[in-house]
Amino acid sequence: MSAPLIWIGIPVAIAGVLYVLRGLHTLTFISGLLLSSWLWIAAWLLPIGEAVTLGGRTFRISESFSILGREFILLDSDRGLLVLVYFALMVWIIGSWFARPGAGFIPFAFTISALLIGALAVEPFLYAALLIELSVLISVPMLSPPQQTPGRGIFRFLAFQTLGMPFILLAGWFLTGLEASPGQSDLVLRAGLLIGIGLSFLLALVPFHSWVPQLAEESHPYTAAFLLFMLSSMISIFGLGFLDRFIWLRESETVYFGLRVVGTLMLLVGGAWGAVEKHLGRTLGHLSIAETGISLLAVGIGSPAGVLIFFWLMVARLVAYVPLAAGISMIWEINDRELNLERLWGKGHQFPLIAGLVVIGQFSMVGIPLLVSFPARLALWRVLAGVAPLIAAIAFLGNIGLLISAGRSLSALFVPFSGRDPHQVDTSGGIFAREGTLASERLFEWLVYLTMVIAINLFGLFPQVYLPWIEKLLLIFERIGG
Amino acid sequence: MNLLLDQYAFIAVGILGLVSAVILLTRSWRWRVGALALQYVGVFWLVALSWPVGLASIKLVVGWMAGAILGVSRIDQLPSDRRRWPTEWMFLGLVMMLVFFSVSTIAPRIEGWLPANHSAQIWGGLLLIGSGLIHLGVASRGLRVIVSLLTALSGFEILYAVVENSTLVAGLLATVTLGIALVGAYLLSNLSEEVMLE
Repeated sequence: MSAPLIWIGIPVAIAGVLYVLRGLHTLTFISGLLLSSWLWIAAWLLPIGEAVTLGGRTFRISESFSILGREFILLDSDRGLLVLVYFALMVWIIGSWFARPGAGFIPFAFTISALLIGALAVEPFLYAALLIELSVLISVPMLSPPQQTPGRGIFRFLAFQTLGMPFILLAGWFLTGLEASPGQSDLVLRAGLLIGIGLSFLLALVPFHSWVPQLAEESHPYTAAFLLFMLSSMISIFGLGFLDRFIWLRESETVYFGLRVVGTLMLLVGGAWGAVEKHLGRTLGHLSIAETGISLLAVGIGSPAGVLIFFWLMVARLVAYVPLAAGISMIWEINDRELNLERLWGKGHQFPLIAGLVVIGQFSMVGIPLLVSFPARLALWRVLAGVAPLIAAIAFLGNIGLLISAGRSLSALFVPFSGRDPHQVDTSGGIFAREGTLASERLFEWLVYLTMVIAINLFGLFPQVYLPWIEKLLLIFERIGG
Repeated sequence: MNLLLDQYAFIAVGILGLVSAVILLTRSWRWRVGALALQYVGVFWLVALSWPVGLASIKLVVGWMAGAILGVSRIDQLPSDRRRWPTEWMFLGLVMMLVFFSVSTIAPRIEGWLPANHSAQIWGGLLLIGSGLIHLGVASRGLRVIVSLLTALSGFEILYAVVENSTLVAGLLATVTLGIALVGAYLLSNLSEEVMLE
């Protein structure tokens, strides 16, 4: 048995089975939850490339899997990545129980996760662009289910992601040439330019970011949030792979300066548009743009500390983004698929638990003290201020924009004089029963919401508990990870 | 066969120039899908200059399949002819001329970058990429976005065939082309008539 078969082949096969069973919502959910849990626990416990004794039998998980002359390789050092991806998938599947993104969400999520891992595992690595493109194509039916009129966002998403692929493929060819004859400055320039343009398309960097808020507005908020999280995280890791692999990129101060400038720009754009945004769904998109900027700033630090902060921010984003997306999705369902802030006036009094979850999730993503992103953001600002104080100061302005955005959501949802009858307040949390009516399982709902809120707090208060595990992710990059 | 294709390679560039102009200028879905099918003949021709004819024929077959997928989706229920204002014709015609001029400026430089067997490959590839991107710039959703994406992608495929002739890449690029056509047909099936040809 080979590692790529277990962590890429099996999830794709599982997705196929779950897609057939998608009508059986509870069965799909439980199967998806158990299988994603099994995948990350297996990645945690089973070493790759070494003999393992299990139940009296000894076996070895090999590192590579060949197909049509090309190889998928997952090393023992990649186990941290596998744990991260499948743990994230499990968390997104848990959130989907409340968000109800549609019957196809779990199988599509499995396929996209497996394909993106495949993109990071394939050798030669330039094939990754093709696998990323395939995951983009597969995500389209998830984002725009049948009977939903597709808007401009989905077409732009498809166009920009497709346009990114050729640049990466061509860059791969130039890089092969560079490996054969290193030191050719014109080849370096061309390869660097192509990688830059390709990643700009794939990561939705300014000015190719317009589809992000559009997609978040048009699609189910939870599916859009899942895709924005997965794509941006995995493509960022793919981009880090370029830095790790090529010395001329890794040791170029211009590259790190460029990352810091683009990261600042992204944070400013996300923050500025987020601050004036009137649609809660689009706010998810602006947050995603800003988060990409924050990740670029972390990598732009240009040291192993920056890479550690990059992964730390990713974990923090997961913990905050899932409750936020789930909360927004529940409000979307309750409020007749309307997320305009003017139409959400005072809804927080009607559904205080869900609205509270949204507000806490949004403030978490800004990096408010005691919440999950705070320690990672604090570390980022401290290290960045030491490397590039001016950039740090300008980028912080973008963060203020995100804070204003969270404040506006709080103000809209919990406006005190909304003219509502306080006797009609529903504190059940608004979780739906199967037939779509509100169920009143108050104890269960309270437990779930409290768990989410406590998780946001615990991750913020005790980072030392999970930080050693995040440090293991640095093993993926043997050079830039220190 | 290869010698023949090589000798008359600029005919393929002419075909590609013509079909990309038709794709941009026409509002008839029949003409657009027909031009797309013809476009893949040109793509096959130019790719065959670097690849074995058998492998290059994948481009032709897949391109025609993509055209067929788009053709049999719900667009066949639409009226085949829609009128266009003369000023629109003029504007798009000028844009197309701009693409031709840009390609003629850039092509000699790109020839130094890529080890093309024939300069027609660079011209054809850049022409399709240019017209596809311009088309993408004036389309917001509907059939035009999908066709322009396929156009730009096939231009890239010509250039990439010059440097890479792996079977796996050919297969994956074919999957991507078919995937775009399938996703396009899926999205078009949910659009209103007006938006579909927007």
